[in-house]
This record gives sequence, structure tokens and C-alpha cells, in this order.
Amino acid sequence: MWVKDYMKDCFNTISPEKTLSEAVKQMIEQKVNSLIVVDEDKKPIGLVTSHGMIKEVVPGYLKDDPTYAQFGAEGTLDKYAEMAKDKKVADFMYKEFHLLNDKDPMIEAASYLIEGERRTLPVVDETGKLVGVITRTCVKKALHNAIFKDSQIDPKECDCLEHTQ
Amino acid sequence: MSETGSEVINHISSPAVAAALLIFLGSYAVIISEKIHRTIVAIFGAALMIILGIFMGFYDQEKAIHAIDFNTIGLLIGMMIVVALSKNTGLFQYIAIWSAKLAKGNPWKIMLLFSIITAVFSAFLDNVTTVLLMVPMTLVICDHLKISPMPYLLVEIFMSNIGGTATLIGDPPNILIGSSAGLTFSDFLLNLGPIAIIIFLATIPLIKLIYGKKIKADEKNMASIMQLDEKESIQDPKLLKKSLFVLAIIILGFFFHGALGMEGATIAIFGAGLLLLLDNKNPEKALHEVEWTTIFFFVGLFTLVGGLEHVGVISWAATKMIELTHGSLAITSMVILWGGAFFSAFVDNIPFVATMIPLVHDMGTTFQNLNPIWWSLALGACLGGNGTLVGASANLVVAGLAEKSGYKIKFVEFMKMGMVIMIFSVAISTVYVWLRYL
Repeated sequence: MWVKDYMKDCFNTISPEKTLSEAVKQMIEQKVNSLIVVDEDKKPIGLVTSHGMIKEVVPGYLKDDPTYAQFGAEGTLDKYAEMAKDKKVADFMYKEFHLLNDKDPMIEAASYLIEGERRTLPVVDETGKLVGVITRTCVKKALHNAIFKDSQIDPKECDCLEHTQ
Repeated sequence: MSETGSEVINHISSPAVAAALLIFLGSYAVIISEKIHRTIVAIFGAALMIILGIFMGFYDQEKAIHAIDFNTIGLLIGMMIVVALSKNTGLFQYIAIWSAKLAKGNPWKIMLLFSIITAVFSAFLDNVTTVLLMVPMTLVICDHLKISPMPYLLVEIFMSNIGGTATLIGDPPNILIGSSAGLTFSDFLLNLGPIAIIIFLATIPLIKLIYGKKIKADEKNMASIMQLDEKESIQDPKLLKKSLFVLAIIILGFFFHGALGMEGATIAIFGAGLLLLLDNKNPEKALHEVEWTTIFFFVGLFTLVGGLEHVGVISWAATKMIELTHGSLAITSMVILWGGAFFSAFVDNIPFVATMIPLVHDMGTTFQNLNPIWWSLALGACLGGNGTLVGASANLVVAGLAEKSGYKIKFVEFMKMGMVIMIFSVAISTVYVWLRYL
């Protein structure tokens, strides 16, 4: 089982120059929870996820101890959203992620997907250009085909409702 | 401690003195520069001091172990364990919300009550823990009032340093001084308690003058404070009861530790052991929360100062200082009070006090009664912490927490207020020390 057989060829990207508010808007419109940040050469340089964006908005004192949030004032989220909205994608994207190659085995994708909060891993070809993504759904399909040898599903049968590049 | 210094001074070579001074001052300089973590510097410097001491014949591991004040170490670890277990019970949130409601949401009354809470808790717990618990609650309350939390954060810093001055366990310099000078919890409370209260009361009008007009909230927002339910904050009622019980025993124990012939560490470790026993869970988490970097910093520092003591530099410095003050107890006390305050405003007060302690002991040959000097040292070191943003760990903790919550406390902005508060409080202390002890 290889990454190239199971990866999704459709994926959503964003430029590091965009802001948090633009990222939120794009994610809502495209109905996705993560975006791959790419440079001018279409090389992946970061990940923007819902988790990462929420972390950017919740203030430090509540991250340290969420129990104080039960007494939070009405309008606190609005206030911190206002403070965070103009932050650049480059400043809050996850810079550390495992980069998959389309020739990598699926076990590599599976192993890195259980690490931390990353739900999407970018896949590149030999030139380093983004060619697809591996999500937990892709691994789920691989898992199905690994168990049910005589009723294989087509991993490429696209379930992408969202599609932009 | 003091005898060894003068004993060895005669047969120690001047290269040894130079080497010990070089290691000590080098470590000090690196600690001040903040380029390397202070604990790393202390551990490395301490080991270097022992190695050089062995080669040059003025210091060794055995002497270094004797130089470590295990009473201070035990007291710190014991209190840290108790705090680690009790801080998450929601007690602080309960008290803070209760007091905000008592103030009926009035911003000035809240500032006043939060000042009292911060000062009292800083007196009995360490300042860093107190502000770590007060700052989030302050941010929450200010969000309800729709006002800037900045004045509150600054006032809480000032009050934590003033409150910490009051007791033996309030601030690390006091623990160090009490342990080494054999002064008890009651001694501190009777000698520094009154002056801490006087400073607190005198600072309140000053703060009212500076911030009173700036903090105004709408009736509607004040009313939203009254909607908060403090009872929701209690996370673990059973642990809360156990914590309060153990804290009461510890404070009672501290009151009588002199009379009982027990050192502070015995009381604190007993309290820690009792709370761990009552909680009866895996102690891993509580022990993990002990600030080991602080503990190791103390160990390294004691070792470093011990080297300096054994090489004879400390007793030499003590003699010089007495020469300069013409053997006057009053002038010596004042130099230590004011010098200590300005020094502690810019540099960590812990290494300063750790170095001054053997020096003051050495002055015992000139002065019959060292107490005025001990109290001056404690007042200068603790109150000096208000001078700048780097003056005390609690200041930096508040600034760090505020910054990651969207409020930046600027160094110069802080210093403008901090220096006023520091000079004001040290001036009051001068009068107090003068009238009471000199």
C-alpha cells in the first residue's frame, strides 16, 4: 500500500501572506478543517487547522487554566477574535509537520497521523511540489482494504465535496 | 558559618582568592545578563568552585554540602508541594469572585479588595503562586467590567511584593534570612508584619490618587459581576477541605516553631506529607510541580557563596564595609536597606541576599545586635522587587501572563510607577527601622 494510491488529489491551499480572517472565511466556504500553506512554487511550508486557529484566539491565561473560562464575560471571544483577526497565516500556521512523499508506504502516513493534532499531511512529488494530502479518511480506506481483501474499495473514488486549488 | 571564614583566611593564597572571585563574579555577571538560565549558571559555577577549591586547597565537596542551607531547601519544597495540591481546588477563584460581588462590581472597591487578597496570600504563600492565581481572575473580572486590566495587574505586583515582606515564608529572601539568622516566623511577623501593614495602608491612597479616576465602569457591566456564581469555582470540595485543614496546621505550626524547637522545613515537610497522605493519590504530579529549577538554583548559589566564604572574601568584605561605615550600626543598616533595595530592583534578590547573609554574620564581631541589619536586609531585598519589571519573579510572571493574553507591560512604563512605590515604601521603612531599632 502506497501513499500515491490512497492520497486525495484534491486539496485546499492558502498563501502565507493571508490573514486569520481570510483563512476562517475560506475554511467556512470550502467546508474544510485544514488548509495547506504553500509558497509561490507550490511547495508546502505549513498547515492551518481549526485547532491552530482556535489556539490563536483563546488568550494565554485561559489556555493555561480553562477553569477560569466558566466565569468569562459575554463578548470575551469577540474581543480576542478582534485582536487575532489580522494575524498573518505565516505567524500562526504549524511549521512542524511530517512531509510525505507520494512513493512512501501507507504505514508511514498512518504513523504520523496519530501524532498530535494534525489531521492532514501534505504529499509531495520528487520535485517537492504539493500533489495531494493524506487525511485520516485515506488511512481508514487503507485499513478497510487491508482487512477486507476480497471486497476492495476504490480509494480514489472522490468524496471531495470541496475542491479548489 | 562566620568563624570558618576568618580561620582560613591566613593560609589561603591570593591566586585562590582571585580564582574564587572570578568564578563568583563571572557567574553573577552571566546571571544578570540573562543570556543563560540562572539555574544552569549556578549548577555549573558551583561545580567549578568545588573543583578549583580542591586544586587550590580552599574548598571541597564536604564543605560545599555544609554550605547548603537544607532548612531553606526543605521549607521551599514542602510549601511547593502543598501549593501544587491545593491551588487547583478553586479556592482562589471563590474568594476573588466573592470579593468582586462584595464590592458590587465597583472597580475601585474591587481593586482595593484584590490588593488585600494579593497581599495576604503573598504573605503566606509564595508571590509567584499568588499572582498566577490572581491574574486570570483579574482578567476575567475586567472583561466583565469592560475596562483595562493594566492598573490592576500593576497594583497586584506591588501588593504581592509588599505582602511577601510580612512573613518568614512570604518571600525567598526572608526564608534565607530567617533560616540563617535563627529568626522565627513570629519574629518576622512581629517585626516585619507591622511595617508591611503600614506600607500597605500608606500605598492605598497613593494608588487611589494615581488610578482612582482612570477606572470607571458602566452600571450595566458592574451588574454582570453580580451574575457570577462563586460556588461554581469549587472543583474538588473534598480536597479543598483537606487543603484548608493542612494550611491551617502549617500556619499554626509556623507560629509556634520557635517555641517547639522545630525548624521551618520540619513544619512545611510535615504539612506536605500530611496533605499527600490525606489526598492519597500517586504523588508523581504533585512532586513534578515542585519548581526544581528554583531549588537547584538555591543549591548552586549556596555552594558558590560557600566557596567565597571559605576563601575569606566574605569576611574581608564585611571588615571593609564596617570600616566604610565607621562601625556605625545605623549607617550600616541604612546602606543595606537602600543599597539592597536598588540592587534588588535590577538584579535577582536571591543571590544578593545569599551573599549578604555570611557577610552580615561576620559583622557580628563588631555589632552586638545584628537584628536591625537583618530587618534592613529583608526590607530592602523584598521591597526593592517593586522597582523594576525584573525586580522579582512575580513581576515577570505577571508580565508574561499578561502579554500572552494581549496586554504588554512595558519595562519603562512599569519602572515609572514601580520606582515611586519602591522609594515610597523604603522611605517608610527607613523611619520604621530608625525609630524601632536604632
